Amino acid sequence: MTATIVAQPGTPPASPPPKPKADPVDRILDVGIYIALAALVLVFSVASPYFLTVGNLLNIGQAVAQTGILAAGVTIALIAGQLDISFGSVIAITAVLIAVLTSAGVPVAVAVLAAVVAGLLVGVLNGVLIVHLNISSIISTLAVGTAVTGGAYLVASGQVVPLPDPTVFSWVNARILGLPVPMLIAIAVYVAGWILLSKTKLGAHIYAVGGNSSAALRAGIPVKRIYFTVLLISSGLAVLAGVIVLGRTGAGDPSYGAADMFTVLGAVLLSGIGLGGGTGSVQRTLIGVLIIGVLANGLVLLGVQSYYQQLLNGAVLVLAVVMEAIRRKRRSR
Amino acid sequence: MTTDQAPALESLLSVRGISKAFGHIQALTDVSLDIAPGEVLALLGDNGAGKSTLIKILSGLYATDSGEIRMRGVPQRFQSPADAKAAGIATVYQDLALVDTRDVAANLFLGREYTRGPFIDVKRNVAESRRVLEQLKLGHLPASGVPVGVMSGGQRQAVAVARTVVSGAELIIMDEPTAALGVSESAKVMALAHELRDSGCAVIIISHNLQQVWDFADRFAVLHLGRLAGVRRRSESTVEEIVQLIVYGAAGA
Repeated sequence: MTATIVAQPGTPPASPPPKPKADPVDRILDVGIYIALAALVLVFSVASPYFLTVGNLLNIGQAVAQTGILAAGVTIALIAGQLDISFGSVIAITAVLIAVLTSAGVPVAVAVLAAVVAGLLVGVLNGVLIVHLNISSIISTLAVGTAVTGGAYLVASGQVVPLPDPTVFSWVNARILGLPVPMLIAIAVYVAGWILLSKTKLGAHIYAVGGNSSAALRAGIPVKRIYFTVLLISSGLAVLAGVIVLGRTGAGDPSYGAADMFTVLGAVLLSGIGLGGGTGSVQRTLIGVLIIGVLANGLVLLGVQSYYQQLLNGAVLVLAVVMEAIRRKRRSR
Repeated sequence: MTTDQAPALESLLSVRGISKAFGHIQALTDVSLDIAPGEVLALLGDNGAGKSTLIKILSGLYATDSGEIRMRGVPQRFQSPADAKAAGIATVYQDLALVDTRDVAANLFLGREYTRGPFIDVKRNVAESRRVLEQLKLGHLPASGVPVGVMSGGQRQAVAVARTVVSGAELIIMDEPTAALGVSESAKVMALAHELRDSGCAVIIISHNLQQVWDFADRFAVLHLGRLAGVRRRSESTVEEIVQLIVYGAAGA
């Protein structure tokens, strides 16, 4: 019997073209932060019976709200390729301006409006340096941030300025349905950030501009406008964080925001976003925020000295940077 | 000196007597060229022959000093790359202009996404991307979910070419598409040029490697020191003749 070879319709060709797939190591690094968060929660709940109580989880939520709101803004700007580190100064100027103006008898609404304008001006100034003078975003926002912090000290005459009527901002310390207001605000910010980045045309353009700005420009995307937009979003969220700090403490202190630098950048870097732009998401940043928040909370519960905490925080940041380096090395094969 | 000029009536693109100088350097002198729909033209020449200058003029990056460009018989005056695009000319540069961190659908519809209000119509972008990929026999490429940065050089080139189809280009210029590719990937890119031709587009492939384009081009236009040394149909020429045109600017030298 003679064997006949008949080409079957629908048979795949002899050598099917290779299907491109995401790098497996990239995937492990991608899920790594979820595993890290789960491991931390597991360790602390075993080590301390108090850790996994509703009260403590709400404490964590309350504590990370401010970091989280700032980190969301930094993430959005970083996806567009701009590292905005001026957020601390915006917190300071916001809190100080409102405290000083209301102390001088200016109506609260006007004082808040002035703070919003000042905060957004910081964003505009960052944008002018970055977009029109072509200065790198780290340098631009560092310079603007330093100057604005100096301005906050000037406005406050170097003092902590108490609010004449702290009850105006006491809603910050309220709870709705048992949930702290700052935590609810942070949740709203993350939902909005997720929708913006993954569902809207602006979001798609933010990724495109960060991924390849010249390609985006050639495709007709208004690159400069996108840069300004993300920097204004970042500054605007810092104003929001400033109002929350003001409400929590009842005073405007020009040193506000200085301590947020590490936690915010740590959380953002931990998400694996990288400094190149074009990747990342607020969901992943949220995991980074939670890792840092859980770590701080858990270490306090275990009675670890704060020096060790700072040491460990630094180690976490180094880990985040190393992971990013591995990722970049594999990508540039 | 011009050979085998297609009649201007059938031409998609018709270039007449264009010259371009940069200071004292005459980059192009009196170049005339036609290309018809459904044709693959290889633009050949040594380094400095004027290939890049000609392509940049056709892409709207440089203005001509003299001469005329017509698309479907309509005189064009390109002030910017956007003008050339609007006239139906799309150029795939060697850098490909892809956003490596985004998937195929995001790249194909970069800057021209289907939207519903402020929201991206992801389903439609992906479905349209699949349609274009199928049309170009690139159905094996994933339209969504995989960033183009992890794809091979040839696949990325294919994505960049597919984007010109999405933009509705009638004339697609590929600048040294195989410069960074291996043999089998190069062949795939050339096959893609044939798909474009079969769908009615005109394709200009710039190359300095005659071997790679010989089997795939219908005609060869050779530039030598800024002048058109000759245009030959493959069926009426030989590799030796084209090489002589490239090297000496004249056949039978």
